[in-house]
Amino acid sequence: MDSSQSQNKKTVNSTSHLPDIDNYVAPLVHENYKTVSRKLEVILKLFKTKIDEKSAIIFNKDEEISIKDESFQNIKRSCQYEDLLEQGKNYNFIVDALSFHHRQTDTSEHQQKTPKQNIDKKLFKNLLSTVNDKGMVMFVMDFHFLIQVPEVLKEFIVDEKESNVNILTRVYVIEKLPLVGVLTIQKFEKSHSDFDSLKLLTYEMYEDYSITKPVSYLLTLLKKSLTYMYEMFQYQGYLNTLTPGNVVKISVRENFWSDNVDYTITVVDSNDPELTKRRTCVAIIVAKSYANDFIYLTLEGNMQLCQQVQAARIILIRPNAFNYATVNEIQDRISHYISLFRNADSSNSQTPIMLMSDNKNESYEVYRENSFLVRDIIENEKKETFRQLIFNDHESETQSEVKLFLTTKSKAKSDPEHYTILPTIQKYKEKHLVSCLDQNFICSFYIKTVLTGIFFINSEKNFPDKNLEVLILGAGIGTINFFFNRIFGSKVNITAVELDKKMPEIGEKYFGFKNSQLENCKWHIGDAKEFLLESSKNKENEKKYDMVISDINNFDPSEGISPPPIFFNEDILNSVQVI
Amino acid sequence: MARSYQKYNQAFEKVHSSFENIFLIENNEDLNKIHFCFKKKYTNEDYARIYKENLDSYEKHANISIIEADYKRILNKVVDLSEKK
Repeated sequence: MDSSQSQNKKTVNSTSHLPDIDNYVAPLVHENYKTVSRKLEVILKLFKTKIDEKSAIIFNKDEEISIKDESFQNIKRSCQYEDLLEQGKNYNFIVDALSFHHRQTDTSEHQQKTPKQNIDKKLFKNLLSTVNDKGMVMFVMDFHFLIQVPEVLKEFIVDEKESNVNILTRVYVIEKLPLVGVLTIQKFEKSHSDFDSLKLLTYEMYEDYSITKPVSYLLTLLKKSLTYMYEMFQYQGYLNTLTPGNVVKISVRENFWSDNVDYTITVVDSNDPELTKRRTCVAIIVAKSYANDFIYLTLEGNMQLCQQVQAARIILIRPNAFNYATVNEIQDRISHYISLFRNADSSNSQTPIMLMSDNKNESYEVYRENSFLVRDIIENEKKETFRQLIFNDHESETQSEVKLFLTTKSKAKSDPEHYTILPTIQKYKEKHLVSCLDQNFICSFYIKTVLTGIFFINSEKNFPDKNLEVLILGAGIGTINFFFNRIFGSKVNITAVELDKKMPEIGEKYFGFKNSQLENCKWHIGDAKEFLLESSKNKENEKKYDMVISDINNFDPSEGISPPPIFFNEDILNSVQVI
Repeated sequence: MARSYQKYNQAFEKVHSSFENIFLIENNEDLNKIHFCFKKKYTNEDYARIYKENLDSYEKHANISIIEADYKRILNKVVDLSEKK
């Protein structure tokens, strides 16, 4: 390597030294969104069912709107929005916030150079005050506008605190570079909502027109997400062109508000002028077991890797969180980041993805219903198999997990106490093996911690003369029951409350939890709230339980907490105190 | 599991004022990434002592081997709930 190349070498680990995004998120008007019509077409595509005669469009420049779609014909439109606000209450508003910016930048040469504009707070507040209960305001905006939203919402919410208005927000990023998005805000009066105060709900829509799961947000989290997005755009802008010898390390979070780093992405630009000329970009998924190899970990190794794959840029992706994701799942998830961080002038229109995988895990479906999936995960490295319960709405979360082991059918049948035969996947059946539950292995640290809670109770009780009494609310398929029973045997009495009668059946059939057979475990199928309220009325239950475990799932992620907030109501907590 | 700090705080306050002995396990999606804490009925040293006493006492009558290895890991994470406020 000559001296000029080594001088170029640089590793970037954070955005602190990267340029502001203004240079490439601005100018505020993207070619594709210059006309109001084009913006409305995009909105139409996003919110087809929401656009009707009750919609009103507000924009800030004189322009003929020409849209072929029939649904636009009856919409009220005005560039003087005051009159619409006066009639206001019945409308859903669509606001071309970009056109408001546009006028300002047109009028001042200075502002053209510094395109950051303050959000029009008055317009923002007027609209939110005017719009009816359940009414919606949609802003077409750019990132400068978007990033100011938490602060403005905060002010608005302080003003409106007395009236206890709830707000639902959604952010749709419809064009990434430069960023154009749609912010929708929906207003709810108290009478139509159980929400205590503010509620923000955001659909993360980072890729064009694809909606991911809803995630509940508070203002701070919204702000955190926007800051994260800002950083991603900084990286994207910085990485738009090749910088020979540069290495950029990026922590990627799938949930923008989360602290969990899901991928570590290293973008390496080769210092070989010949490769730089070719402008080829290649992505490589690096399995955990390879992550500390010299070639991936060091600058020198990275440059060697560029030579090996003959690429001007390599995007190294190390998944951190998805231990059990298949290669295809990982590819689906990371394709967005590849498009984000590839060099814009890449000579290949599609970025090839190479796998440095240890092929650690295989996934096999055991049983599926509408709402959940039972699957076996085989860790090839350790030759271990795990069975998982996954809810379809929360595919990234494992609800329950056990370890399996394999044996022959005849051996398992000879000792049914120690071998619980479970439905077995075809791969093992072909080898004349059956899957059995490993009764001595608890997979998740969470379950272990729940179980150890019993050790923190002051043991003034008469154990072992008197059995431990444990109540489990939200017992699911029976994981906690089963392992409590494994630990304490006949010395524990368990009352398991579960809303869905299918869950203990699934636990018994696919996980081997013997839910219907354990004499010291009583199942109560029903609502945990009702169970608590009823139990607390019965004198026999007074101070009955040594330990009450609340493990109730909340299927509505927008509520922001699990168990659902109702379980923290005074009457429920009082009933727990009684029993 | 909590995603909303506001909801979490509300729930936290209510539970905190209702019970004298709380073992709160916090997690977010990943069931192996958790931290947990106590309401301060006893000192942390007391809790460590109670935990050890219980462990010794239960050990005679229970099969605690499947969770025993995590005992120190769990104990190290015990913090006072008031520190979380």
